Amino acid sequence: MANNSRILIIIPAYNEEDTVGQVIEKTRQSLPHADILVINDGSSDSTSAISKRHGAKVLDFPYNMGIGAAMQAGYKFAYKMGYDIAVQCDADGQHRPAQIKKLIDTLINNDVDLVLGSRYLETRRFRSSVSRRMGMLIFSNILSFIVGQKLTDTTSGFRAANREVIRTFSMYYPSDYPEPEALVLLHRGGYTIKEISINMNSRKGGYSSITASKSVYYMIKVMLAIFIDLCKKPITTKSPKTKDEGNVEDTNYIRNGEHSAVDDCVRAYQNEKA
Amino acid sequence: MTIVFELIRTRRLKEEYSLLWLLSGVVILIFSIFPKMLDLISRIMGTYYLTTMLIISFLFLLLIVLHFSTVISQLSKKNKELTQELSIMDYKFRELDKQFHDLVDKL
Repeated sequence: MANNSRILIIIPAYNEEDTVGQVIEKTRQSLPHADILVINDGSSDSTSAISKRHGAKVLDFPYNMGIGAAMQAGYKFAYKMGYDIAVQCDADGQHRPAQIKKLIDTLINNDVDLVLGSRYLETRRFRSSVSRRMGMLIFSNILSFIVGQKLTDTTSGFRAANREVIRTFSMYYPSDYPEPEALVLLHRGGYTIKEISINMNSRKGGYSSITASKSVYYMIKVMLAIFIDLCKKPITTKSPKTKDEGNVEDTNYIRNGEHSAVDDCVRAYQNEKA
Repeated sequence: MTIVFELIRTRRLKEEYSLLWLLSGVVILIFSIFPKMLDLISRIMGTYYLTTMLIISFLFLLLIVLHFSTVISQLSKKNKELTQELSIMDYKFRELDKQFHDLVDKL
């Protein structure tokens, strides 16, 4: 694994105070050199405070904007701060942080743009209702057909993206049903996707955004959204430049305060005191 | 139309959003000055006078509602972007604030 690449773990959280701290700790254990960013999507509980206490970077939304907007804020952050790899991970403890490494390794070694963690690729017993699995199966097949590549777990929120994809997502990220729609978006932009098998825990806290009874309704809505997406104008395709260095903000001013605006502020502060 | 003008004059309605309202106002004005035109349209379409009026007003309302939908979409998109930028700015500010206090403490 290339150690020089800067990695950002994006964890969108909405009222996940029970699990977010544990997720941060476990993530840090398995990936000590990665930065962890929690996006607090207008939580009414102490999600933000707990995340800060556990040493994560936190973006606070003043009100709930939905998972799509939260994820995009994460990608915007990753793009602005010049991260090479962004991994998205749920805050409810379903994703095992130990497997983030697997995602990143696959991303680097296989030269793909996005790596998707799938629950169903290998048929390990993952407890999930029958109706939901059936729905997933039909749904995945349709999406695989559109993308022209076999995908088994299109709603997986466990994925790693390279700088190209970070750039695209920071400019455009679907808001209604971000996980499957983002795949279609990437496919149309000419990016490569690879799926790998992962294990998942059953959830420890919080609620799924999709309940079993609503899964059929959800499926129909997502399919509609995807077909509408297909009709939309295609987004900017992959840039021909090998590496995109543009628009990376200089974050050093935060670190070495000696030669920066901070210095001036300090001097002003001292003058005021004197 | 007077109401629309008054709203624009008192800056409670932006000109941008009033175009469609003004247009429908003009059309109503035209029809009230020349009511014969409505008769003519009714005869061409083969409908009653009242039906023609309903259809025309419905079309205009439909256009206005559609226009509003696009405006709302734009607004929510901008709102989303603002929120995202705000949260990033907030993060940067907190970082700088922390650095600043550390520096002040050191000196």
